[in-house]
Parts: sequence; C-alpha cells; structure tokens
Amino acid sequence: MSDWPQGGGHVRNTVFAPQAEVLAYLMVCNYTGAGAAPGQNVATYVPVTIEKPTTVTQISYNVTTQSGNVDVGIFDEARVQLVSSGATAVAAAGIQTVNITDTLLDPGAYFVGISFSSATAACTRLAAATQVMKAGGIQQESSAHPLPSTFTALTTPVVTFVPLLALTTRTTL
Amino acid sequence: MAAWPKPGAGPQAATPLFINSMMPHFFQYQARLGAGAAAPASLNWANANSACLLPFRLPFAYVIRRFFWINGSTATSNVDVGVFTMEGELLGSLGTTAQSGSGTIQYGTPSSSIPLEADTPYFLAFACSGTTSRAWGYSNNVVMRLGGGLRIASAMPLATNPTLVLTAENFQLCGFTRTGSGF
Repeated sequence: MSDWPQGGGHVRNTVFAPQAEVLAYLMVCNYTGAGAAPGQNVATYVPVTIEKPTTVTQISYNVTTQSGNVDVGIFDEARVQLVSSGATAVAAAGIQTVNITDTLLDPGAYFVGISFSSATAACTRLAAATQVMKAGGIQQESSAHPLPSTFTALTTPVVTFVPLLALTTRTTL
Repeated sequence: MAAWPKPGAGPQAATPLFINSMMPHFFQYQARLGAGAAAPASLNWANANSACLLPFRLPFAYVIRRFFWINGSTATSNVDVGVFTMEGELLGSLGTTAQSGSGTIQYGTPSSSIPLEADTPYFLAFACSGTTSRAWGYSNNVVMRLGGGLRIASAMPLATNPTLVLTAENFQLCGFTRTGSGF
C-alpha cells in the first residue's frame, strides 16, 4: 500500500491520457482526428496527472489499422520507465487492452508512452501541430521501439500524433 | 483571509509539468471556446516592445522554474516573460532574452524560481521587441479583451508596477513548467 495519504473518495477505474487540461487545450486549438499512423519506431509520451494512489493493470487504446507490434508503458516525470508491456502484436481494429505488470502510481505527474514497430499501424488520435504538442507537454522520440528505460525528448516532435490512451485499474474496460 | 484550506494548496497536490496560456486555467480559455476553436499559428506582434498580460488562476500551489513560448517564422527579436500580481507587481521574469530557433519551442529560466499560491489570480506576461511573425498564438484580440487580457505599452524588459492598458495584442501561446530541465 502506498504511504501517500489516501484522502476521501474512490480511485477511478480509468485514467485518461492526455490529462483533462491538455485535452481541453488541444480541442480549443481545433485539433481533431481519427486514426493515423504515428510513424515507425516513433514513441509518443503523453502527460497524465494522478490524483490518488492508483494501481494500473492495463493500458488501452483504439486500433484503427492492424500492423506490427506495439509497446506501451508508464514513465515518471524524470522520464524514467516504471513499467512497459514489451513488444506486443497490434490487435485487430477496435479497443486493444494491453496487460502490464500491476504498478502502483502515487499522486504526481507521469507520461504514458506508446510506440509502434510499423509505419502502417494506426490508432485513434488528435492531429495537433508538433509545436502545439510540445507546449502541451507531449513528447516524442525517434528510434524508440521497444520503449527505452529512460526517454530523451525531441526538441520538436516529428509526427502530428497525440494518441488517446487509458490507464485502467480493472481487468475489463 | 479565510482559515479554510484552499483546495489542492498543500504540498501533496499532484501538479502538471506543463501549463500554457491556452489551457483552462487561463481566463481567455472560455472566451476562446465562445468564439470558436481555431489552430494557433505564427503571428505578427501588434506593437514592438509591448507586452500582453494573460490572467490565470491555478487550483494548486505551483513553483515556476522555466518559461516557454513558440517562436514564429522570424525569430530575430528579444522577448521577456514574467508573472505579475493582479495589482501589477512583477513577481519574477526572464529579463531580455534573444529568440533562438524558428518555429520551435524555446525555454528560458528566471534567475529565481517563482512560487504561486493556489486559487490566486496572476498575469502571465509576454513581451517582444519585434513585430513580424515573431511567435505563435491566436490572431484574435476580442478573445484577449473578453478574457481579461491587458497590455503594457513599453515592456522591454518587464518592470514592476507598469501602467496596464487595454490590449491590442494577439492571444499568445506561452507558459511555464515546474521542471528546471528535461524537456
């Protein structure tokens, strides 16, 4: 159990990344988008703030084009990997739920990372301009499949790609 | 002042790494929603050496360690970024800083970190010495004014207790982080 004070209320069954204020920012900037390929071996790291101690068991996203492998993981604010799934085959179109080692996150800022081995694989995302992504705290890294132990953020992202990711605390989403 | 604790004011509040002027903490956000969403882009700055002031309030205490902005397609001017109280007192700023790198994010570190109190309104100020295509933002002065944005006519560098006037500037995309490095 976390040493962090528990406080009132219940832990959410899912925590969405990007966090709400980043998503609101991207929407008011008029960035929408359906599925798109993020680019081969390009990792995208999406910020999320955890409000209560939360044990994450799975990471989910929506596949729009099946191809190659995906790796998903969680990084702390110092960009150090806490957990990742390792290379996992991209599922058929629809929500793919990827198991990770159950990981307790204390309240704080984290990044949820995703990278694909194939330039064809695609998932639901927002198509924000790369400069706007960076100003929202969204990071990218080239040659990052599988996800690294510590990521190094590019000064400017290379792909207009903000995946919609869910950290879940249950075995079903 | 009420003795009741401010929400999220304690040291245990989880706070985001990046906060920028187009997030809901800034008062222009609702005006932007009402005016219709639009993509930011490289814009002209209305008046050389002027500053726009963007009001905001955070629900948690926060310590600013870096400012950032997005340089426009002509990144050849000087800029300054800082935070003012609602009364116009300068709490901290970068000082005059040369732009570096067209079309990319640029960070600047103030000489001292700047602590902000929870649930307290402030102004984030961005000043620029040039005019043409200097930085990214929204070309919408209406959003700036309806959202409570103000202006300093002569602001290079930012100084304490300036005269605040109605703004003619665009809605600037800039912000701050609580990290000193790493991104």
